[in-house]
Amino acid sequence: MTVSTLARIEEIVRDELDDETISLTPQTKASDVEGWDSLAHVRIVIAVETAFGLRFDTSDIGALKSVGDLVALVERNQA
Amino acid sequence: MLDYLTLPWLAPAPAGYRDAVKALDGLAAPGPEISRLATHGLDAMQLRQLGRVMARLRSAGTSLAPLTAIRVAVVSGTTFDFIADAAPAAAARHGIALELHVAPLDLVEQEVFAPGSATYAFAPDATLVAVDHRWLGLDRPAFDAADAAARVAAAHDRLGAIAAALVANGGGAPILCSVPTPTLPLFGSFDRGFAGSVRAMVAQFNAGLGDVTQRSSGVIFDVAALADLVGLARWFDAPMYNMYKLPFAAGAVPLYVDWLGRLLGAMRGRTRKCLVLDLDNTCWGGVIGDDGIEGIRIGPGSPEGESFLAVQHAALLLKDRGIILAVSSKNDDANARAPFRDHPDMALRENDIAVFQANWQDKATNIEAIARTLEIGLDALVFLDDNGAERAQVRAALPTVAVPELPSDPALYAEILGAAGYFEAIGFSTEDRSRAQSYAANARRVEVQQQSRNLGDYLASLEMVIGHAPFDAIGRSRISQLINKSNQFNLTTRRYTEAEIAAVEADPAVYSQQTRLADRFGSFGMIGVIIARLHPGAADAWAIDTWLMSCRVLGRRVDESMLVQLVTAARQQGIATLYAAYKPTAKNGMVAGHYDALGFALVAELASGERQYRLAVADHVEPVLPMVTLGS
Repeated sequence: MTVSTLARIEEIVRDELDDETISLTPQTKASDVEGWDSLAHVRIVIAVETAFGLRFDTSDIGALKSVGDLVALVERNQA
Repeated sequence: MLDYLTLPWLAPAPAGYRDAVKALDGLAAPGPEISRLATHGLDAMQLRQLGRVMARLRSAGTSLAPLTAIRVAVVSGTTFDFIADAAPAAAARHGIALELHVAPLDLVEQEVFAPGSATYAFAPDATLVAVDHRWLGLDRPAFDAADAAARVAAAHDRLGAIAAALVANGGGAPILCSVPTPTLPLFGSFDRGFAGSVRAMVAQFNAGLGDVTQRSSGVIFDVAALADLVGLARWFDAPMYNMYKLPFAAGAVPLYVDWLGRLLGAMRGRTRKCLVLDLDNTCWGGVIGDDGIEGIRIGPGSPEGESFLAVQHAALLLKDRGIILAVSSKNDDANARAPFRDHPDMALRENDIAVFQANWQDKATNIEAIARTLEIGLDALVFLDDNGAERAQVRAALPTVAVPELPSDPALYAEILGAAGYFEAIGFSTEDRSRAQSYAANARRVEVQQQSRNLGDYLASLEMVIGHAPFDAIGRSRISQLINKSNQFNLTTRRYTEAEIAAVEADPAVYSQQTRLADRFGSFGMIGVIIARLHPGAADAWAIDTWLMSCRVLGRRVDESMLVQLVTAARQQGIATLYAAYKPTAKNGMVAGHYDALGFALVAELASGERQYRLAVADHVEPVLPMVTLGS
């Protein structure tokens, strides 16, 4: 897991939720972040896919539990 | 190839876009800046950011003028949230301040058939019915022809019932969507000829949608055409549908909301009316002043000549449907006109152009002169120019003029002009058809006016013929256009849907008047509308609800003739008093003294600037007018 992937995802989440104070760690869950509801989650997933030029499998998206999972999913798809 | 999903006719968002959006909160009159920011190729997130600020400003009571307000309810069989987030900013691009109310997912009938539902409590001007092939039961094949026909009929009936209920219960104008063709084949190419294939049933459904829409005086949102344009393989996104019930790929949201914005703009009369063309390297290849008439590239025989010919044909098509054409070119006048007169392969000719500005002044000055001559607002103009510097100058000086970006290849100019959707329309009237001629005749009128010694002689020389009549079905679409488009000569600026106009027509308690004018140069068609209702305080009085006129006939005493007709009707119906009001807007200052000039007495002036008037019918003296009145 690289810092740069996490940092980029953090930037996307800040943009999507319009909140510059958000700070993410691999352990962060959606429920820890104000405004990260189910609609925001869809936006974030789509924005991450767009930013990294990837498409995730439906089952992988469904299995996401934390920011760390999302970082790992990005890096697995990039590999 | 144009990538429509990126809206390539719009300049990319400027650096510092997000800060500029945040700075809107500090502006007293943010409308123009909202329009300017919206008129970029924004992605879904940028659209949402702007939309959020617009909503905040609106709820704080800040006016978004000059954007025209419209309230749209949405009932949808799929997730609409992402579209709703992006739509207001895209609508601002088309002159609209959009306020949306989205009903909970998949509660279409529950909302529409309950007169007390939240949808109606929102008091929408229009309701978008965003349903797809699944909701309409067209998602699986029918294996015999009778069943196929029944399924399509059932889909039409279901949607028709929704539209009728919307009209009956106060949902405003129904906006009905055509259905993109699902990609899954049954047999393959044979699907086209097999009535029960999904492909054939969806085609049948879309073909009949016009009738369904017309029955409810609604409007079609051609989502099927949009999906075709994008490409069905890119449009549909099965993972996104399965996970989130998104009706189409997330990447198509900016284009979808732009199309929706155009449609709403057209419903509110914010469509552009005039195309201003640059000449060198826009209408032909080369520079006429340098290359001469033999050297420019236009017409068949070369790919470059074909490209520019396509631009000319696109312009002529627009002219045929009532868009005015003008020229703004940095050239000597004689040089610029020569190809229009003498080049055999030109499709455009001089008499296609209503105003021809070829000189060495800057383009913005010329474009202002064009708007002034045509008596239309700058926000009714589109300026097509291959030169990026000229585009930038016009955008900076005249931000309300639409200036499409052009790619480097002229082969794409015509397509991008169409793709931008500046001239979206929701109807086509005989007035539209003849408007270009009418405006060309108007240019000649300016010369007549200058030659006449005095105004009376001038008006008499026009040989005007005027006719007044109550509203009727034939005039309805033009009446609706005038009511929704007229900004300047409009005393109250009340907007009505076609359905509401039909209701006025049918209500014997409401007085309606449409006025048509012709002169020796041609017919103007319908140029004036009055609606008067019984005054709530007195049985023998009318209150003038709406009085508007086309600015093209200003100074011709048409207003006096309209009043003569109104007073005559009032006398016949035992009406003793006419009440009237002037409600000021940003655009109707020119009619502030309308009722004073017609002899009404000023009764009150409100803090809002509204001026209230009264006229005793018995006091009205019929003037001698320079026109013949038909039917009286």
